[in-house]
Amino acid sequence: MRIKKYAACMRCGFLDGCAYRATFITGMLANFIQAAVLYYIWKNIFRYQDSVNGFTWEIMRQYVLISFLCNSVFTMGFEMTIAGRIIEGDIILDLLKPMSYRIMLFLRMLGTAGMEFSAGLVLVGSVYLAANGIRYLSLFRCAGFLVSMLLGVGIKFGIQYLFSLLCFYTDNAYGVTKAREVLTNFFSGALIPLAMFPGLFRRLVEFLPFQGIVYTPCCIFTGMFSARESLVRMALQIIWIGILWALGALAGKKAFGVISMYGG
Amino acid sequence: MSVIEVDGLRKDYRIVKKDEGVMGSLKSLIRPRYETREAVRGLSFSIREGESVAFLGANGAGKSTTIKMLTGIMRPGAGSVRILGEDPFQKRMENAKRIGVVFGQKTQLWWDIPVVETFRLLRSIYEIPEETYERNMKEFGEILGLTDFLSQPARKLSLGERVRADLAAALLHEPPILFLDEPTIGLDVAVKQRIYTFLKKINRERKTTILLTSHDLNDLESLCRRLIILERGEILFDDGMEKVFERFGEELTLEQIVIRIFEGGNPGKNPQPRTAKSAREAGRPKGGRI
Repeated sequence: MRIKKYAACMRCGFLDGCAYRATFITGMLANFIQAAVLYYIWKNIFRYQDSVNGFTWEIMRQYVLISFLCNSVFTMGFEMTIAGRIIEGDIILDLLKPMSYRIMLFLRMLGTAGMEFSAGLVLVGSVYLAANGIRYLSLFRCAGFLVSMLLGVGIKFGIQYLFSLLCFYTDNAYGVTKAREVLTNFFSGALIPLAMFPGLFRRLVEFLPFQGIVYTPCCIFTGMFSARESLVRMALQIIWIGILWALGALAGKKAFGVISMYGG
Repeated sequence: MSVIEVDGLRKDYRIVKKDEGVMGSLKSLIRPRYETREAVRGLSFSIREGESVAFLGANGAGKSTTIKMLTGIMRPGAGSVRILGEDPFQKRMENAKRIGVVFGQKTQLWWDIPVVETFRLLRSIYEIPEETYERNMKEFGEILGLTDFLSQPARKLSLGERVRADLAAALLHEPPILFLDEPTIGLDVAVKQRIYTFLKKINRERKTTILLTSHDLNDLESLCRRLIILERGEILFDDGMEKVFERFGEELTLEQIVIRIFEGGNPGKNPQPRTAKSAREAGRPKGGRI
């Protein structure tokens, strides 16, 4: 019975994703332009040297496209939607359901992510094949990538959930969303592989959850991580999901208490 | 049998107190000063199964706050609430299955997907049996006239359509208790009529207990047998609808009585003149928008 409930939530998330077709397409296009620019920048850089911090052109031309795919899954974020509901007060009705608000939100996001992933896969897949052919592909690494990317979606949800709760305190949804976007784009490895960050920064990033969103799955795909390291990194992703989940529960309790405080 | 029991219910809000002018705003930015405002000051009442009760009071009298505490989203400051014998705040999810809630100014419909998809989602979330769902959809569809816009996303609906859909959404799981907070606010006469006809039918045929706040006095009068009037967080009157005339004057209409109450405390008995300032203070507490 529970499965049915969950499936229904995911289904609506999927439909939601389809409804935002225009937003989705423009978001995809923006990301794609970014990926194309990065692709050619790297291509030029590698003309002058063979490797940058262990990355070769062979790896980089995969990384750019795959990070684009990771980044396309759940591009728009749900903070804006949630913030709207918080500010309008509609959130009350979401809380009055015989189901956990967070689980409902998570399933909804998963549904939307599923829609975006399937669309992104077709686009990126064809570009990837055109650019690289099948010479680098490995079944084992692809499977690892899929699992790791799914874990990355979990981390992304955890982070977005925490940020969306901020809207209970500040009414500025746009600022909150932008702040989160910049943080995730930079620290997740969507722009530059984290291995290229300078020393201290590099170590700092190791202690943040963001790398699990793009960098980890991409490095698994490109073979930058050995099989052993891949497993360790995935374990790390799972630990982060646990930490963010616990933090979310705590913060949620506090944030929903705000309703009690101000009323209105 | 009492389905709703409220005893000594209280709620205070903490609000930021600001001084006037730029300096005042700056001061409050650096060190906010808080003051408490008593929104609900000790309510006690009980409602039996199948009753239809109107909650009446000026803006800021504590109606919405009370409804929020009854539905379990807000923790009572003091006192106790029992919905079908359980504490709604402690058991919010169990309670959610047994109540339906409509806020006229809020919606539970999903904004970007067809209305019927929200209904289907609710069917799964509330685990509504197939035949119950079909029967209710048919009945609600006819009385509320939903069929024309079921395939539209909520953002494209007019206010009247949205409220009708929200009403149906709140009743799909056949809750024994229905809370309505200003459900007809901003609606045209025809839609209002339709909604009240529907509520009457639900109340009569399904024995659904209805607790509603509204400012449409004529409609309240025709729907509700019992009237609870709140004034500054306290109960001013709680009795049968007809008793209000006995107490405040047979020759008056409900509207006239209410105007007197809102403007000047207790009409008929001991009218106390109130200045514009104190009337303003009784206004809505400022602060969060939730």
